[in-house]
Amino acid sequence: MPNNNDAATATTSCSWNFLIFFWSFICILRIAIGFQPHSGQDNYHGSEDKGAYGGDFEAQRHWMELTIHLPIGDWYWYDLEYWGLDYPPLTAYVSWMCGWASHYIVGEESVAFESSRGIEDPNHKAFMRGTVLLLDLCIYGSAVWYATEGRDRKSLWSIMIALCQPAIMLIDHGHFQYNSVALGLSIASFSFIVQSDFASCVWGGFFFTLALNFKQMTLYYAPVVFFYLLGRCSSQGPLSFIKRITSLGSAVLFTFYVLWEPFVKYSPSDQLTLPPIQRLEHVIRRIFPFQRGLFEGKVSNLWCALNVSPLNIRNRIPTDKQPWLALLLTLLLGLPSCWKVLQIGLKESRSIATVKRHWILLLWATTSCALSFFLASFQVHEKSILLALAPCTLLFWQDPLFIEWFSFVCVWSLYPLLQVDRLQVAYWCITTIFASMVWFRRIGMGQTKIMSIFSGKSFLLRAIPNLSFVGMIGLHVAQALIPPPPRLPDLYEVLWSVAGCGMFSFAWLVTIIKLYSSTSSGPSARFKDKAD
Amino acid sequence: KILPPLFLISTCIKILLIPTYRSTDFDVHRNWLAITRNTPISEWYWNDVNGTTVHTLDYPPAFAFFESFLSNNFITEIVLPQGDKCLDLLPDFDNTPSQSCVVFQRSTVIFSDIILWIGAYFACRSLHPRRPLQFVVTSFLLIVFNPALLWLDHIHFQYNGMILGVLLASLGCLMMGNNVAIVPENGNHTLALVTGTTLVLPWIPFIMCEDPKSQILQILKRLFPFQRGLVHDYWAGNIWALYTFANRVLIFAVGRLGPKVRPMLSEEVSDILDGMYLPEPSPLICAVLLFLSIIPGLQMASSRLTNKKLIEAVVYVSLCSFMLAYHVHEKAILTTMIPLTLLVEPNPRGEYYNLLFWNITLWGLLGLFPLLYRTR
Repeated sequence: MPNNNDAATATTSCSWNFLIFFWSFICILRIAIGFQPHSGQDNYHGSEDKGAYGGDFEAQRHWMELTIHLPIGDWYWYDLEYWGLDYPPLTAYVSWMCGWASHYIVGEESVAFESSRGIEDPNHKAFMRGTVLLLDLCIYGSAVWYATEGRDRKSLWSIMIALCQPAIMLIDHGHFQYNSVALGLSIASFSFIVQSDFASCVWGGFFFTLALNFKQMTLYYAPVVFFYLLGRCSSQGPLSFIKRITSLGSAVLFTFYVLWEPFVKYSPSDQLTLPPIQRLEHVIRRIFPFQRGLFEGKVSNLWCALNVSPLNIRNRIPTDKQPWLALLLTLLLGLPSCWKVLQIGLKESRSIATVKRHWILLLWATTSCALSFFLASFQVHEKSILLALAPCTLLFWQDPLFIEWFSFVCVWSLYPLLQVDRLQVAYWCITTIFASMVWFRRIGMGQTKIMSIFSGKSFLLRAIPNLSFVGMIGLHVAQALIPPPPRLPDLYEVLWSVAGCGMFSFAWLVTIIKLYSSTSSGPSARFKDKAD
Repeated sequence: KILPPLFLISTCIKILLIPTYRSTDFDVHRNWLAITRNTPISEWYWNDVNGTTVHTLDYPPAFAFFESFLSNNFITEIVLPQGDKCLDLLPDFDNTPSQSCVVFQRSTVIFSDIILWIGAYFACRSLHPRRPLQFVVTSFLLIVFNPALLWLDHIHFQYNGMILGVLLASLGCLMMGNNVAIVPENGNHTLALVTGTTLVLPWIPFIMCEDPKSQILQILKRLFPFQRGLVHDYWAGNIWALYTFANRVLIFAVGRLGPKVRPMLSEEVSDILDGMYLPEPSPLICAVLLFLSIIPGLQMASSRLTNKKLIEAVVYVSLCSFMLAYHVHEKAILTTMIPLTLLVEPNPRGEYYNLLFWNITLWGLLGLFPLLYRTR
């Protein structure tokens, strides 16, 4: 299939009924997952017993309830023990809209103040799943669709892979979250900031601010975005630097102001004399709960892996120094990607070909940065791996084998979380569907040689994907057949997180290699020739 | 070669659909599993759990043996947990199935779909034996991914996929036989013998019971419940639906116009007008009409056949049956749709069939919508 080199015209070379099939398939997968239990359905928590009913589903429903019934000043203050709001303001506004929709579509009792806690109604569940589906398709779907240029079979296949990522679908449509909104806004912002005119950079900055204000997790991308934009601003000399930085900065600050202003202006009903700075501080504390520890539960990052006895790193480092150490290590790991994007930002692009190169490098850099944060940061949640996955999938044709391998690793690492939610059936089905898609691609491409990090001359590199698949499946089998010994009840979770950490560290290395090796040879050279 | 991943994808989607809405057909089949497991053969068509259930056995004996096979093999024993009431005779008011029961039954449907895949492959291949594989892939995929089958089998709960698979396999065999250039003299006799045996064989155990005549009568009574009347539960979109609609219009018109018109007419005419409605068609009328409409199809089938004409004949006859037969279920449109799918061709020569296919599929699917969900 010849790649569409005439990038100026993104020709729609596929028929409309194929598009219908394409989008229907994507919808069907999501709806089919939606039938499985959501997080906290019937108050099922696995082995934990929290004070509040249910899980993320109930939390989102509760936020819809409180945003439509309470004045805005009270939103971050009301009943903090029962799923208090802990995402930034844009989530609150979206919950407010969904709340009114729920009120009118499902009925008053679904979001009735206080009396709707713990409601388990199939219509309501269908509505909530519907909101996730709608937001997913509108925001994430359209971001991926417009970010991919060309509509030939290869591009469509990469869009389909991006939209059928098992990890993202299982978390958003199974466990119940709205991650796809934040991911979609981030991807939209990336596709804007790599364009050659600076106005798109401002738009990109705007979208990224929206993403940040939807989920604070997107801060994982922030260093890369910051340094790239810094590079772009500085690329034309000091005078234009001032102009650009002012326009960009004012757009970002204005957006922040609009979104945050109500929370500073209005104080909670029971503390009407609270000074504004304290109101602001409270909201920030809710969003960034620093009083929690270095990590919670078993996550596949370095701190968890190093905490395995006999290393026990959490006990050896004093508690007040832990955040600083985490920050230091994160910045260290993220440094290579930031440096690279600063470099490419300084060489502002003029042609389509270099825009494409910027796009590819930016995606590798954001994946790398997100992985560094995931591996080394403070209070990391397992779900944050989606942040590394989202930019990575758009790079499908750069290295198909790696992307496929990485997708499997991500969803595998989420298995302990899915097990708690009784989503095992969905996990196996969706992973099998994704594996079938991989199989399909292999058949379709036949004997074509694929350039990949896994297909080089080094035996070790070629062995890594197969070894890791054996390991992942082996752990599944072991967990099914062999119960953990009584002295080590968390054995499997720990094994999962250690193995995951190893594979993610390797993935981080790969991203760094991709960032720095593509200057010498590879797609960029070819594009340079064509651009001149 | 692309079939295995596609099969995996469709199977996984079906598995994900396990917790969706089930209709009463689920309870019906569960009851049949219970009947075939717990009662002797002579009682299969009589048993109704002491009058507490309406889900009595009303499919032909071969299907009864299939249910018996499902409920009596050792895999079932292993899969269902001890003490599960899944395979017990339960009255209608107390037969909520357990989760493992649901999973077990849904899995049987998913497995039986393998027969559909095999039958469809066989039929598609034999229809165009000399064409390349690409040619038949379209019809094959359209059959196995047919949304109507997905709805009916995996949500509403039925075994249509398996049954249609057997139908397709038999059609495939017929076409294969046709493909053989020289049909030996006694070839027709072999065919008749095989068909006859297959028809008669499932009935033999029933004939061997004590009172064969009443057994057979009971089975016939269950299979063809004429006392239910023409429009039992669902309105299949056929001629009788139009007929009943015309009836309603007539009654409505008479009711409205009658009082106005009556003073102008004589006594007797207005009396007749009062009680006027279209006559209820009897089963006999239906059968006669059906037979008359099938005649062109049979005539075509008896003359020298090509494979294509065979399929066309099947489609025609099944559509006639759908339109005119007594007590038709909406599902019956599937017996028309699936063979028609065989005729679909991805090139301009098949334009006529493609258009027909579109029409029938669209309206057939529309007619099946009410089966997707019913408020309990």
